[in-house]
Amino acid sequence: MSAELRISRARLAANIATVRARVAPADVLVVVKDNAYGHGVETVAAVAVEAGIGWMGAIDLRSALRAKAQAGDRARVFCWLTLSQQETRDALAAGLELGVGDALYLERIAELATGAPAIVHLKIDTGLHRNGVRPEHWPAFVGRAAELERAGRIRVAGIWSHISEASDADDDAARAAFDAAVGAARDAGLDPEVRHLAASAAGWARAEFRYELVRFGAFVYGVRSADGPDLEGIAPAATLVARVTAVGADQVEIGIGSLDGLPSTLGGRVAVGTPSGPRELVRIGPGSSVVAAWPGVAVGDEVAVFGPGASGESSATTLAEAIGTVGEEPVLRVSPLIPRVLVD
Amino acid sequence: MTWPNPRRAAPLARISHSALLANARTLAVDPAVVVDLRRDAWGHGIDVVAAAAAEAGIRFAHADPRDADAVARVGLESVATAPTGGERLYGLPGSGGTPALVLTAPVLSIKPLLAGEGVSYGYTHRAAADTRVALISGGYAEGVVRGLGNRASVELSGGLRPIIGRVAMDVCVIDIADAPAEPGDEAVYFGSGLVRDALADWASATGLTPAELVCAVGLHVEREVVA
Repeated sequence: MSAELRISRARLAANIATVRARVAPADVLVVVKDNAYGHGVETVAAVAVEAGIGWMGAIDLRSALRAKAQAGDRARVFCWLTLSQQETRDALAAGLELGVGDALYLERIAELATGAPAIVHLKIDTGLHRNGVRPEHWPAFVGRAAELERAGRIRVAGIWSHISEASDADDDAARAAFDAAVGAARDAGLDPEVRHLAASAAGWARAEFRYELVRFGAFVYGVRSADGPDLEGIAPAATLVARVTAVGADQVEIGIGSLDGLPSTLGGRVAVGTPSGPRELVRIGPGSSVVAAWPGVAVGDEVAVFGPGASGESSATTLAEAIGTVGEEPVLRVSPLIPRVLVD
Repeated sequence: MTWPNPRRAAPLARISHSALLANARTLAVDPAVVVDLRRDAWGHGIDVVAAAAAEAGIRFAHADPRDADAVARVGLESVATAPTGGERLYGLPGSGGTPALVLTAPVLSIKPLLAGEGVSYGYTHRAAADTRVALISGGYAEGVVRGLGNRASVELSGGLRPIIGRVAMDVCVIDIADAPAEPGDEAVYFGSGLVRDALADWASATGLTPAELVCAVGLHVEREVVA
């Protein structure tokens, strides 16, 4: 195993600047879930805070806690998994804000918040049917939230949801449901500071989905939407690099394989970047893979599996499209054992 | 107020020492066998797997350089020879071994899903009739492959429950119909009971090998060693 995942902080900062300019005056929440999409929470949180980003968020508690530890009072950090009791205590003690899409979870948070009120973001189910309170249960939910807020147990900082991106019409229907839910929350006496509905794709493309805050994950890391266009000012921040470990007549072996998180189904379907430009990724074994050779190849030469294209490699999204998935998946599958190396 | 989630909200991989030991004993009948401990023992954890291999009487191991000390500590000899029998050691489907990794996740919440309503990104599943759905943790960030949506099931409350709609990065939705489930109950993706060999279904649904599937899970989720 000779591989490494190279992270460009300058590229992260440039992507953040691009999405901020795109959605202003709305604010950007930088999503750092799952170890910042495998890029390293501390790295990404430091870049975000340095850029003046005031919001970060993660579904998983571990990433959220690490982001908060990195940012301190310079950013608000939002965690939206339905947590266990001890996890909720830890989250509140660290000053995290909690995403709440379940009435029982709201009660449990309120019970634990014995000091300062727990800061929560209430989630309406606008059609995705994952977490989120269904519209028919929403009036009772926000009524109870208003009671708990008056009692000093919680403070409702936000109303939020996720959209399906099944079609623009579906998303418009979700947005109408969202607006109705915000109206019902205000009628119940709540006064949320922020509404957040959109993630990268809709936040980028559709102004009416931005409200006060847009959650950007994929585009911060430069992961293009599957079947979507390349975007001006957005490029991959990570390059997955492996080295040549053996040289044959027409093919070479590189030191990365399917046990390192490279999906074996990519074999024969995509190209990787080499010192001579793109070459076919012929076959993926457990611990190593085979690439078509190039003139003058030597052991130790670097091959880029995915990245911004500096040596002819494809983006993670282009690889993903070859096997019917989204660019986030090959990025997230990269083994945690592969070192993350900062290049700038 | 009772809290439903037993301990944690994220998925958990349980690594069975007894399964590893039993599997290793069947490999140890060949005194020259070289066990495959690459990549933190295929995501099962180098320490528990190396110890089980040594206890079973295996002498040789092929591991990553970073794990050389862990291999030497239990008395195994590191060799560069190509390893064999990984599928059997880790109990992957069809190997004749007992699964050494059980992937579990708690139910986070339960709610109704009405006829015609869609689920998850792209609404790739719509309910044929009114039903109940559970959100469980586990998504493609944890190696629960995105392509498993509408193609695999988990075990919960004694039955198989299909994953409906797209698997997201950290969660997925299962159809539980009228099963007596509650938040905090444990769903099992693979490795025991009705889903003992579900990795075979994962492999046929995704085209990926059982080895890379289990390794990605083991490397990305928290692990707990059980007897």
